[in-house]
Amino acid sequence: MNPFLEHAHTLLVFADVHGWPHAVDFASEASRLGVEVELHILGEDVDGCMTDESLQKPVAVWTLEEASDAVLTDYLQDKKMGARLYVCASDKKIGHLQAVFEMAGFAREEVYFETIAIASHPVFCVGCYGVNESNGKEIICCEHCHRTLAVSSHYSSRLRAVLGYIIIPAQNTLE
Amino acid sequence: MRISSSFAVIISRIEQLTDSVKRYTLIRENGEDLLPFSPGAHVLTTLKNSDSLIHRRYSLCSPANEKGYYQIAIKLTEHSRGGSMLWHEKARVGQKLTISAPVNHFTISSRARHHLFVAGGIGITPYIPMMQELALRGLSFELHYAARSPEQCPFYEWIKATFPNSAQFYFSERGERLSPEVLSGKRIGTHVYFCGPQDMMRGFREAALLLGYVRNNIHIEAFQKDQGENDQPFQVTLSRSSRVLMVPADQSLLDTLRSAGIDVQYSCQVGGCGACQLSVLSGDVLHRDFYLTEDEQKHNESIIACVSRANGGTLVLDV
Repeated sequence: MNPFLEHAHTLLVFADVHGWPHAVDFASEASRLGVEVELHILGEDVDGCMTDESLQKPVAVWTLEEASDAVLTDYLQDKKMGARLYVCASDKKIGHLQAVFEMAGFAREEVYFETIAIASHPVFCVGCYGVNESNGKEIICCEHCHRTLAVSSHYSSRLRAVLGYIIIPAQNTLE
Repeated sequence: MRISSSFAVIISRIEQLTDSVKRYTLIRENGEDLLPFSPGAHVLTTLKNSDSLIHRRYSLCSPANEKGYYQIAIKLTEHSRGGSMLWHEKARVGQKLTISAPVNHFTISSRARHHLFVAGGIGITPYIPMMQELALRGLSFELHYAARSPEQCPFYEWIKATFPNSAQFYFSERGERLSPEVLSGKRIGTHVYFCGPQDMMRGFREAALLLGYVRNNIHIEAFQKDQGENDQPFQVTLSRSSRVLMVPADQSLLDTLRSAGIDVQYSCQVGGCGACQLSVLSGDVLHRDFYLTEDEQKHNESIIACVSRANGGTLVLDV
């Protein structure tokens, strides 16, 4: 048994699309030990998440904006002693959540973080020359000119970024 | 300005709180301010008894923001080893004694969102300034206080009047029992504090762990070591240097190691804080601490050096 789960009564699982497979494994272990499990998804990519049939459906989706932090804190601080938090997500999301959990009253020993490293590259938009972050995605939206970019594997040592090629939407050319 | 670790005070007032508990007010002889302290602190008092000195630790039960005096409350115990009897029968107003600077192993946690205090008998004393401080700051707490009866419950009337919505009393003469159930269902961020008879503290600690409280959310104030009546000397081998030491019957493992020049961390010296925890490679341990869980004690892989000993035979330590 994972020592983190010893004497836990409730396990709150928070994961983003990258961490979801690991989170489901951990949640399944907890469920087998008789720990009550709640599942929470971070971010909008819920379609990328699958749940094991033996587990509950996801309870809530949290978008991690400032406005939702207060709601999340309120939700968490109603939990009782014996609750544990398991978080499996990218390090950016984890950094954000650490502060929220502390504000809600969770001690460090009550929270288990598993960071999913995402290879993120600077992406140079060939349209406006602005630089974006890929965040592990293959298609992104340029923050500067809002064009849709395909993240290429073409690395420019001068720009120290990969090139992001503009995706032109398909058009019906027949009149 | 150099602050001495102990200093002289005089007893300025003695009050009978119950038939077995007296409260003593201590001031500096020259009227100077006393050292500040944080709620939960205690002092080591030294009283002269004919040809010997009696040293005893007592929690400060005066307001922490009061600089002019300290107060301690002492119960005359049935099996007094001389300390409480000396205080109750010999101490007089105007008498001089020495006390240490305040020391605190039982602080209010700054991380807690709610504080739950459990007191048994005279174990109420550290909570007096703690509750005053929390009330002043508008912070959340509750007290569960067990005693024989209202008449034998020190500070009963004052607590009822001052914290009417935060205190619950359990009087054994009325068949009321303070159970560890009071710890369950508490909101996340609750810290629990135990001060009272050793069996009570152990029981509540185990219950808190089973309810899912993590160790850092559990606070215990122990003043006395769990003394064995027939302690035997034992041998200890230090695996990293192959040194073999003999721990005398009247000395702790911690003191023996430190006398031999081994740098072992320590703090409370009564088995409550875990600072002197050492790894055991072989041997059977006689556990007398409040720090290790029952499971950890059964595994025999750790020893709290200030109070625990070998249970016969030799101990081999990873030191």
